[in-house]
Amino acid sequence: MNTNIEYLQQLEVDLLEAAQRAQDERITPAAATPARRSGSTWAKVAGVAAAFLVVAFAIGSLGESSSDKFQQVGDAATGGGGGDAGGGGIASPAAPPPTAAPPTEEPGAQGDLSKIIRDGRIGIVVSNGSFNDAVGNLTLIAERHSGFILSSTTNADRSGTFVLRIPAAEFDRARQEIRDLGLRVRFEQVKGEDVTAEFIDNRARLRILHDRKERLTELAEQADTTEEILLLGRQVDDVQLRIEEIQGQLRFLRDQVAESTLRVSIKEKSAPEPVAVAVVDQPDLGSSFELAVQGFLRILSAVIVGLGYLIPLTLFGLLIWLAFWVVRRRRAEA
Amino acid sequence: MDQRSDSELLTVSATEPGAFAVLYVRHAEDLLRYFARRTLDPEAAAELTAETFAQAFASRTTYRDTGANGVAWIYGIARHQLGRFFRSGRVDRDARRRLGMPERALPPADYERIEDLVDFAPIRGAIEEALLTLRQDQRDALRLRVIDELPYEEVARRLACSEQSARQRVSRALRRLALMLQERGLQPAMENDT
Repeated sequence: MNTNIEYLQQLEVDLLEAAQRAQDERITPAAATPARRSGSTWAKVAGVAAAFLVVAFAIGSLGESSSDKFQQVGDAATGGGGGDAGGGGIASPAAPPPTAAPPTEEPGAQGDLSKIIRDGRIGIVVSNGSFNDAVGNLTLIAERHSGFILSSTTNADRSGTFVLRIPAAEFDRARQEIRDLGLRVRFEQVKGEDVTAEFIDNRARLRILHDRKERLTELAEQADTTEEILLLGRQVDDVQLRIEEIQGQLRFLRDQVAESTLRVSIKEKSAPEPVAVAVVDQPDLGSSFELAVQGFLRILSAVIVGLGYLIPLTLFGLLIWLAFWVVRRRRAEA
Repeated sequence: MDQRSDSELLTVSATEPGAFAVLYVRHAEDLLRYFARRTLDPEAAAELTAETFAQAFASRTTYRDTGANGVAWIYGIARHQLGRFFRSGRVDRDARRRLGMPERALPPADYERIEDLVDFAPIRGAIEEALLTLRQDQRDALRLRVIDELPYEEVARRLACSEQSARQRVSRALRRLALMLQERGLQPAMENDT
């Protein structure tokens, strides 16, 4: 080569060797084309993404496992009209009728604006042979705190699940007493849902509807013709219907806020774990499809939960890697 | 001497890889000059040359003779490589790695030979302004080498460092300088390079 630049001479040798290898090994040049490389790059990216999702699913499954267990028990206790797993439902002697209608919402009435619905789950283990005593004590606790057992499911008098409704003000005390019933606590979860905004919205709508009804009533009183009276009367009825709907929603919210739901699982020490089994009595395509969809949604849910853990961790890792990379690069440039 | 045109050589190289070497011999130094004038960095220019030829060799079967000069196809790859270099500040190694080509350092003597390919005269003023933004050690090395036109031996002596270190400082400074000039729209290369 006619150049005095040594690097170019070395490069010529390297290229000749590459050409020789291509000739000798009968490598089709297409093997090194960008398209092929692009394909393998995409395969790598797809592999990494798949691995990422699998890890996310594993983490999500782990994260949800404890609450799933409880969910299965809780669902067994409350689902589908309360199918008894073996021992039959226990009628709550302390169950007051939850029908006491609260006073009608007064427009413009001001109260505590904070509206939180509290919900909890707790699982306890009692000593062998003391399940019935524990259930009796649970009933007493519900009574003592002005609550009641909404539903229950027991299994061979060794384990069972109970859904309690407890006044919100007594919720924590009752929960603590239930904890003390057991030898140990298997799991515990307390949730709070803030419905303040919904409550305030409904109250505002109610106030507006009351004003409208008042104006329509005045107009109806001044109406001269039968047609006007009928028209305004219909409008007043419509507004009244909407007022009652909103009052119903407010009443429901107020009940939910006033009373908390506590799902209690009691199990004797050596009793088997309660397992919820999806039973399909008469398998058909419809139920199979439904089960498949539910299974898919559970996997998707686990993946999403796992991504919630993984993405921040990955970003954190990337930041650290970036910091190292920048430092190394600066050192290399120095 | 091979009388075939660049386009013919590229086309034939798909089945006769050795023909690509002829193309290399014809255009390697021009391409190196093309890169050196744009990057002002001998190391980067040499690496870009190597990567461009490796990429061209690896992709030679995708070349289609459309009547244009075959070397324009290689310069298309070169512009792509140069753009990536200015964006990332580093030279790709993908094509060389795929072809199993060894990683080669630039021999010390080549620094000056490659700098000789670059005509610094038209950009000397712009360099002096951009110099102020460089690190002190790199600025000193670059000033001695490019403004004062001292040999590396003398640059190293004045900076109390090894000759290799002086070369590296100048190389790094030139690379930064090229990036700065590029950002300011001051293309150090001349239009008739290609």
